[in-house]
Amino acid sequence: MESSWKISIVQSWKKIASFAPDALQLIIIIILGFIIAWLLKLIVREVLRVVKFDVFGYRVGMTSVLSKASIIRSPSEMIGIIIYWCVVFLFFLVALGTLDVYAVDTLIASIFLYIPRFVIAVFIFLLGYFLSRFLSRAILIGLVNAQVKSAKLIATLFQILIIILFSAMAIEQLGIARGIVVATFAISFGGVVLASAIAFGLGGKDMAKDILERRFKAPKEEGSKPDEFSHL
Amino acid sequence: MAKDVLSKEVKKQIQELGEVDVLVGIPSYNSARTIPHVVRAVSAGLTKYFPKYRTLLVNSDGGSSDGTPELVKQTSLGDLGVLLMEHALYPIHKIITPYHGIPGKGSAFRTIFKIGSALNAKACAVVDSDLRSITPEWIEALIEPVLFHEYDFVAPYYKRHKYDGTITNSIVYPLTRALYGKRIRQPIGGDFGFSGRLAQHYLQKKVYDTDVARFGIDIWMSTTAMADGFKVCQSFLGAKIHQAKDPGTDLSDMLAQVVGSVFFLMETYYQVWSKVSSSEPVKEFGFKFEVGMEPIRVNLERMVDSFKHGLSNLSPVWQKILSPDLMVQLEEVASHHVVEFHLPDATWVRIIYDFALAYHRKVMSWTHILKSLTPLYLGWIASFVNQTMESDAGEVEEKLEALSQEFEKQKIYLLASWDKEIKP
Repeated sequence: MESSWKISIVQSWKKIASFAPDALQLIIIIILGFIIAWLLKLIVREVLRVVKFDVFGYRVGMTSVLSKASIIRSPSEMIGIIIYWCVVFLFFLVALGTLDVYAVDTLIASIFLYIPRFVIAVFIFLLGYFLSRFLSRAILIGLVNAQVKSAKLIATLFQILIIILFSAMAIEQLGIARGIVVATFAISFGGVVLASAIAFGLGGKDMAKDILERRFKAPKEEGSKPDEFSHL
Repeated sequence: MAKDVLSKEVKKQIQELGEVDVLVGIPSYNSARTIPHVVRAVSAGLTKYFPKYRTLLVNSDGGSSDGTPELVKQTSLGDLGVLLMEHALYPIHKIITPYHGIPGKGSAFRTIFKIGSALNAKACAVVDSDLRSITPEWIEALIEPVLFHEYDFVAPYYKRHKYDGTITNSIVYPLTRALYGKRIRQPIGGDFGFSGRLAQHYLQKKVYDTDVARFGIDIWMSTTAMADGFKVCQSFLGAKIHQAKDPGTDLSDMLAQVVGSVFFLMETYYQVWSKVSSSEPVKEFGFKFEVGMEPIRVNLERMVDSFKHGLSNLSPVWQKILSPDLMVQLEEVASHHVVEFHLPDATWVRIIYDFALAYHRKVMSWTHILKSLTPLYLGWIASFVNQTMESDAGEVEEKLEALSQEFEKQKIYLLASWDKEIKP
């Protein structure tokens, strides 16, 4: 009885002893990951500070996005934090790989294969976001200068549509429920366009008539005639 | 690239001519309706006022489809016996050539500068091809200061309706005056005189592949002459009446092009304008006279509506451009009805300087910055019309003088803010 107890303790100890180097290796890699991530964060933040990335972030609207999300950090700090956690995550995966467990290895391999698609998806989403901001601002200014009353509404709707379009492309890239995403996007996009067309057709009938009359007919009222002075 | 500016045929004509004393250039594009009158006026001016000089008329055309170059070729002076004091020693030569490069007045001018430079012209002038009010005296007014008084650049000085040229009056004139210290009243007039020396200087600049070649050439010529230390003056030309522009020409595009050119030049000439602290009048030539001031139609309500509509919709854009105290002032301005609508000069000057700073700091796309100025500009016109409704031309000029002085006074703010970083 006593000897079998002893044997199991010895066997357990042997197992622990054989696992210990791997565990130590895992812990060391993770600690190393934290150190390298911290160093990288510092370097990236410093480089971004030198190249005035925060000014760029302000110009392209990153700062306002962060403040809308109640994040009080600057864009360069945020990038530093993202890089920090990405590096920690990668080192964590590498550390798990040292355990030499088949299931873990397969999982890590699939995660590494997925990373490029994830990066592309993030890039597509960010591109869409900044493009939507740029185009909606251009539309807003153009419509305000043309004295269109619902300028803000139209520009906001346009921005939402662009974000939806690019989000669908990003999700498609991630390979999440492809069929559903494409179908949902097609239905909602088509729906919005149809609804806008109907709304303009019914609600904007008079406006369209007014625009056409102003374009092709001689002005009827004194107030609708153009100014007679030259700007230049 | 410069060797391609002139065609073989033009080079041959230049070789045959050798040298000229006076050159007048007419840039054109589909100007068949007006160009015969302009050619006649130029020819008469050259014959009447410079009979002892070798003269040349250059038409630099942008590929007109309405027969403009043929009309220039065919148009002759006719019988000017009564007009002339003495007969011309030389005939007026003509070079009619299409220009190469980016379509626009700037590329047309480059061809004219190139021909003037190749022929060693002493004095040159350029006049628009759509002018209806040009007279032979314009040529005398633009050429004489260069040929006889050693000036390098002659800006036009037109007599215009008190509400005409509002972009010039409200922005371009007072701003260039405050920046470069010269009181040139019409820096974007379009009809200029210049020396052969200045033509060569213009040719050395590498701007002909930029927006300057398309639409900013007028302000570029004036600014370059002032900033690079050439001797500048202005000549009174009388009324300026030109063919009505296409009504579809968008105001915000026009405003963005003109103001954008001024802001662009501010970047180029910072070292010059940052050292200028006051302005001085420039020598004026010509006999001044008053022209008719018939009442014209101005829709104040629409302008005020545009200002208020801009304020309620473009605030997020303006907040990135204008300082917070200015936004408060604009809210106060917008609270008034049309008849009491008033945008103070000091506020307007700060708006323009803040836009110049936003352009300099690239707070957003420059087209967005410039185009978002339109409602504010319309607000300023509404305010100006409100204040000057009963004023005569002299009183309006006094008002513009006060505005110009405000631009000069607040230049210290522009200078102090120019090198400040954006604070995200």
